[in-house]
Amino acid sequence: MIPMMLLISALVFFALELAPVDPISYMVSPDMSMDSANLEALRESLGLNDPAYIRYFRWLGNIFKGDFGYSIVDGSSISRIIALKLPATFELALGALILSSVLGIALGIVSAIRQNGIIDYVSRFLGVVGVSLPQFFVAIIIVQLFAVKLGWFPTGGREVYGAVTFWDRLPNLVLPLVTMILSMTAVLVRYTRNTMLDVMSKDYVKTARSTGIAEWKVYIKHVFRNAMGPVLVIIVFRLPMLIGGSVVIESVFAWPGIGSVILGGVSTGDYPVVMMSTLMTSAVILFASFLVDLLTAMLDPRVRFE
Amino acid sequence: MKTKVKSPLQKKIEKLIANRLAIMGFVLVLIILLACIAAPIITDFDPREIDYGAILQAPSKEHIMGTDKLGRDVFSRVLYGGRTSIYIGVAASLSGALLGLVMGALAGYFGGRIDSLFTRLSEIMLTFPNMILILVLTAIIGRGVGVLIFIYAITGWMTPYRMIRSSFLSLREETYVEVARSFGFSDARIIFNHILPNTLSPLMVTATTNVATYILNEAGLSFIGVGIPIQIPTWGSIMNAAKSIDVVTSYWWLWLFPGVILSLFVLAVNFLGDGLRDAFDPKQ
Repeated sequence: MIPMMLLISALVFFALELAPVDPISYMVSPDMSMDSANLEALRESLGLNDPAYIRYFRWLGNIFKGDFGYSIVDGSSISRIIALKLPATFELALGALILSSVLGIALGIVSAIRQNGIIDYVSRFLGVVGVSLPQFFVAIIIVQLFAVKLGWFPTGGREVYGAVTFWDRLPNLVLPLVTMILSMTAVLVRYTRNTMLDVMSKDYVKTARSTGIAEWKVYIKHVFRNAMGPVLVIIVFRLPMLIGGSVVIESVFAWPGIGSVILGGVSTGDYPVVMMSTLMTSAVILFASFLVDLLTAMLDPRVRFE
Repeated sequence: MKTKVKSPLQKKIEKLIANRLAIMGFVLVLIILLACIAAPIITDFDPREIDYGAILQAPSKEHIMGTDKLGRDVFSRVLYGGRTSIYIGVAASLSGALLGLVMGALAGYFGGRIDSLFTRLSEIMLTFPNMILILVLTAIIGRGVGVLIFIYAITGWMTPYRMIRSSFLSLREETYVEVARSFGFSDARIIFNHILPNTLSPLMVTATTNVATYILNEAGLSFIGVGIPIQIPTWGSIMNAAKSIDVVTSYWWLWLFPGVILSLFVLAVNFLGDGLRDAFDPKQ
């Protein structure tokens, strides 16, 4: 995990080097206006004339100290932007991840146990539909239906300021969350179903069944536990997609998360903001996949003993 | 009495034809594709022709999908836009698959350092949020049809790579490869003539479903305004108008028609891809 993070940070740093901006503009808060002689002195004192690798390590050190630099567009501190926006994305992503995992795994299990039953057919069909409909199109339809026509929920935005509780924020959260859940559940149902079916044809399941224990015990203890490993892996694999997908969702619902920050940064050429947000997002994803690796080890003794 | 022996390929094709959803998907793909190609025959309207005398008209006999804010015919824009959307999807999927195929064949056949390098690279790129990587790359390289295809290729080779690599890893131990090697065949000949043909059918399935993925991705990017420049109609860039809530509520034809056609096409490609998977790749 740590070498991976270092590598990504190096990629981010050198991409920033390639971007057509003067680094001084994002190392110094823009309110400190100064003439070019001062600027040159500052450049020397900040060590901007040092070789790239030295500057890389210094930059890395600053990040560890919590100094992320400044936006070149409005001069605000990047750490503040991230601290403000990342929680919004998490609220959405985590909610979608948990709900779609529960829903997807449950439907997948039922589809596998009652193979070719009604639930199986419906969820298989919806599975393909769910991955085929563009998220933003689904979002527009949902907004048109539930926000404009029925007026049940706001069309977008997020309540943050003041002493608002989670329950005050909930109405704004519902529609983007539902949109995200639809497509994520679709993939998971299908994968869970196929993995379950795969495990169900294994010899040890037949053996377990032949010992005469209750059918539901066979499913819970022998099939489900063995199917969970691959399903967890696919959930982790979808984490980056979840964060990436939030860019579109956040744009449609005017959700002030990190996706909006990155999108805004890309549109205005605010490279430092884009790079730092990317770095932070990948750090979170890496950490999450590390947690899931631990979880897999707990579920699967073979991994633990390796 | 003579029984007719069917080749494996014949059996696979029969299985595919028996799959009703797959055939429906195939027919729908064909209809939309042909309509887009034949756009100049189907409609007389130029997708870029601005007509201030006819802005924001609801669907009528003359403009069957209405007109947009600049008076351009939406039906014509959907057809011509489909050309670009489908072209991007197909070209991106093929170039990603080709890149993955070459890298996977090299890594799987030769192993060693080249293998660990490519595999490590693919792992890193898979943990990275693809959408964000694409956004950053468009910011650095620029925007346009060719650029987007290039970006999709360099961010989308990982899955084909992993498939081809693992097939090569297992196939290179097969007896027939040993035999070919003992005949003194060159590595290139063994890779291309003896191993590669046996790895292609799963790749074909993935490439098909990837066409759908890339069309969706391009639509999403163009919709939020960072994909294909708004001057070039694609299914996504047409729907960019629906970013404003006024358009969503009052001018439904601006987003509903392109959205439905886009969804139908992607759905059809996915049904076809699923059918191909069932027929050619029984493991999945």
